[in-house]
Amino acid sequence: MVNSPKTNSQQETSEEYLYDFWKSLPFPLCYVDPLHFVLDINEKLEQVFGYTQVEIAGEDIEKFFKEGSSLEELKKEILRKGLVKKEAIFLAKNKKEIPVSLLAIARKDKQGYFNGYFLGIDNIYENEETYSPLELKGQIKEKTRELEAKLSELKNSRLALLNMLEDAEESKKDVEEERERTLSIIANFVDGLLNFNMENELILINAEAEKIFSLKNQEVTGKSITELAKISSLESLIKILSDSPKPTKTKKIKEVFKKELKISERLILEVSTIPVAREDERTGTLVILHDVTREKLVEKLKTEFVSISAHQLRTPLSAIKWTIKMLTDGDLGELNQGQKDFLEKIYISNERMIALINDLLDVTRIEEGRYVYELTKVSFVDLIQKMVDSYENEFRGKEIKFSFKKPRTVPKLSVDVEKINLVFQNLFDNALKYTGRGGKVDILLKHNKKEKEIVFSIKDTGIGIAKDQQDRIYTRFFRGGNALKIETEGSGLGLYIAKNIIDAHHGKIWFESEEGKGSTFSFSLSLK
Amino acid sequence: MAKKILLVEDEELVIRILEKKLSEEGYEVLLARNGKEGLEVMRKEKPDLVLMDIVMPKMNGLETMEAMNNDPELKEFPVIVISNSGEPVEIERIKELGAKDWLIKTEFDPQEIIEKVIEQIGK
Repeated sequence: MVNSPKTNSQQETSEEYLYDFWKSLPFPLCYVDPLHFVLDINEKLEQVFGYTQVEIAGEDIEKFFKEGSSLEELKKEILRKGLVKKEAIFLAKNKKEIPVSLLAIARKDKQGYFNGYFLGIDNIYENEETYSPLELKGQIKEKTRELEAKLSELKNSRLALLNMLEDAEESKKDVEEERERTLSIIANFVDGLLNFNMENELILINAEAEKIFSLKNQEVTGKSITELAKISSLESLIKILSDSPKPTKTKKIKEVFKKELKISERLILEVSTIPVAREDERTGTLVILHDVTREKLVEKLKTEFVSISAHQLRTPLSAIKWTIKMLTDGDLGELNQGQKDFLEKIYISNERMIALINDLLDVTRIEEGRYVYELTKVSFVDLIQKMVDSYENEFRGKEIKFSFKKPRTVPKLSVDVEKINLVFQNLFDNALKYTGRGGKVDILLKHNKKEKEIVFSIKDTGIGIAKDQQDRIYTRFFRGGNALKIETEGSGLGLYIAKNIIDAHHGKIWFESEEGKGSTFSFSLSLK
Repeated sequence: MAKKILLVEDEELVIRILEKKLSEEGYEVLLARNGKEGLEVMRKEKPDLVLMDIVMPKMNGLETMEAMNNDPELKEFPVIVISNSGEPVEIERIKELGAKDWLIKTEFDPQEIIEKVIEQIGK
């Protein structure tokens, strides 16, 4: 959360860059840890003094200087001053004593603690093996020039080192800024947020969540889910997250998606959890509480509106139905065949309208949670056989071959007969409507003894459902693009209703479909 | 003597259809446009059967049946409810109030209603 991937990679690149940079600097340099052991040396140091990295790393820095050199002082001062310059005698690999000038620059870590230092070791008389008195004057002059050049080089290297430190400072600042930004996003987020670590302890709660549960940050942060369950305002939330009134440390927080949590009549939330991971490693769980009070209210009003209007519509529709029936029955005088035909067509249209309104009412009942279920033990074979019988004529009319395969014995099931019939009716209707003349519809009933369930499926050779529309098939009012083209009638509610009924029976409903080839719709109900 | 059927209903078309159908079957049809009127006619005419709508002005069908239940004089009249709703909750209530039968208008033809009447009180 705090270390976003972006900052990490920035930091990595700059660290790699720094490492390459100091390794190849054109003057001898080593890095020393806070206890004055050498951690690393650069290439130039190896060249000039003849040591390899392996020989020098891990040794006390003092070991490489002549006794009585100013190293003791340097060690003391570096801690205090952060930048120390000294002269000393370096002991090269070939036992030669080389006068050197030293520049030490301290490094600090993110918390500001002393983290060791860079030590620049400069050979004052580099390349000077021997010198004769005759050449001395000229040599001194040259040496002076060289020294001056070295001095400016040293100055540059000091600058370079300071720059390096500055770079490190900057990435540290970046990380901190990122952290600040994340924390302020969490604090000001409109949804309530709770962050749990892997031990199921609450490590963070934002202002909105405090408001929702009317408690204070200090009362809850650091507490485990077991302790939180004892706080009355959190009880219902913890129940959702742990699936038990007594959650434990070790049991993982449940994955929840948009689960409704009613705090009061005026506050309804949707609870979701998302795993929090840092660099692919799970570090905890974030619980999101989204206020859906308004949506729920609007939904309720809409449902009520549909329910009332559907009821209102039924009154004139039944009056029309009855009147037409009277006319066609000849109760109001004999009609000729043409008149009768027309009235019969009106009657059928009116019946469709009634069916549509019944669908709408079923949906509003589902949504209001008033879809009562009266369970009775019935034989599925009988139910399906009745359905098959009632559709037989219509299948024949479209020259559709149909079959009903079933095992010899099938145990009875406890279902709401009226509702399950509605499911069959919707699935049969679809198979009939969307299968072309001369097609095939196969109905299959299976008894899955191992899983203790009954599986029903209906397979057609119809128009199928396009791949990109398959995930919307159970959505209210949704109708497939190809379905709309061949059959304009239809509320787009059938499968929504069917799914809700199967869900309410704790069953499963699914389908396989290929556009142009056909669909198989199945559902299973448990015998347990 | 012809059997008396009281039709408590406010929908004009429904009244005309049922009135015609029932009188053709030889019943005497009495009319009331709401529950209140219905109770009055019941007291005066003592019908053999009441066909009761639910949604009506002034006093709806459920209230009327409650009033009948509280009145020993009216309690015994058999009632068939003819409703537009079909809400399970409403049907539960109708059963509780002691209706002999109930039917949802959109699901029945007038002829079937006549059959229900004959089933209850004969011709």
